[in-house]
Amino acid sequence: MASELSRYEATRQLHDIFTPLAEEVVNSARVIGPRQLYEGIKGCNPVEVSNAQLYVDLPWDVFEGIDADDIAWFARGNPFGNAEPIAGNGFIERVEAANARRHPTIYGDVTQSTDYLSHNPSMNRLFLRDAISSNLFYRHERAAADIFDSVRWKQFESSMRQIPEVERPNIARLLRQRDTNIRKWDGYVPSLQRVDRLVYGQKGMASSYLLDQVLLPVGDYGIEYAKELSATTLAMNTHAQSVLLALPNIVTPDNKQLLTTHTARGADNGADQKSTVTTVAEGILSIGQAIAILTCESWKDTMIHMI
Amino acid sequence: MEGYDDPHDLVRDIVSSGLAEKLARYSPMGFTGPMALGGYYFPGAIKKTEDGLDFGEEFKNYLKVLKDKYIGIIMVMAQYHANLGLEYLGTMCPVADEGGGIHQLAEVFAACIAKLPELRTN
Repeated sequence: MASELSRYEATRQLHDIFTPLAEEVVNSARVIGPRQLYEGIKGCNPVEVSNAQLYVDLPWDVFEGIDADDIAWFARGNPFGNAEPIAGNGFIERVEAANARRHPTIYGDVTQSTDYLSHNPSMNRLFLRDAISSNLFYRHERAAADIFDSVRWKQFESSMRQIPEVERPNIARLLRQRDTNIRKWDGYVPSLQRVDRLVYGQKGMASSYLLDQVLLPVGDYGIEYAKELSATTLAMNTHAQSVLLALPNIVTPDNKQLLTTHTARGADNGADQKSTVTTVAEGILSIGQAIAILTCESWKDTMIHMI
Repeated sequence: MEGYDDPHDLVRDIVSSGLAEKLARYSPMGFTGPMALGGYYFPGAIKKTEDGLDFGEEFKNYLKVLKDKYIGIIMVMAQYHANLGLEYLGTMCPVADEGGGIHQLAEVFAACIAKLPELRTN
């Protein structure tokens, strides 16, 4: 088991492993220059996806049968602007029980597929509907979507048509990931805002590899800038994978155990060259994501907000 | 105060101010990715200072709450759930510290994206 001390010591040792790899990527990228860097993703054409259209409403009201005062109380914890946290009073459990009684087959399947209830006592109505509906949709795909509201479905279908068919399972996988993870934190995010549009980019040829695709928010600076962010993230990642996979012996007998137990990708199936390169690539993806969320809001808007 | 009509200038100053690695250092694991995937952002996350850009106070406090909670979770899990093999849940990105690789990678990132509009027109 990792003690606090060993955790920090592990971080230090990982620093010594990964910093030279990052430097390798940096130095080689500087040598080849931006033009050749973007050659690696030639054919990549990021497309706009509507955030709202990526969700499909449930065919029933999840709050049916729940007292209106309870719903109002629950909505007070709305993370879109109200800082008041909600303490659990069994509300979500009662909603879940009511839905499970009315729709035992589908709802049971949905709730078993996500851990949102255990992590998110402050989830508001929107989040609850999002969580249930998106999980429902992506588990049941078109078969379940057929029973949804047809207008919303057509909007969603129109949005998805922009994405080549072979890539659609990939975007579904990305969205599942965001739904299960973001709810771990939403109870502590009183000021969090959400954009209406996202941009989905993938490397030229179809691939199911997670790091060959990127989904980023479209903020105040618009779609063209978001597409540039998407393309740059993919180009950097493609370059990093190409350079680092060609290096000899990143994983050695001395560092294999550390990489296996102290990196998430190494822990998946044991550390090897690919898992270690993937760890670097995920770091580069994080840089693109960090810049994207920090530039969602234009500076001018920020100043207005602060005043 | 000077603004940022061009997002590439903002990216350049975010990187030169070290905010990319600061975010990696201060935020818990599993934060940045889901934020971007979900289209979430924090209004007023950045403020201008005499030395460049920095995180706004509210955003700093927010990150501190998240990080404290995260550290608490991984320490408790390590103590009571040793058999789960969760050692890989580290306290921060190992290359986000001083001299780590994130800053250099972010510099290349900023340089490339600044060049992209010109490359597209040629």
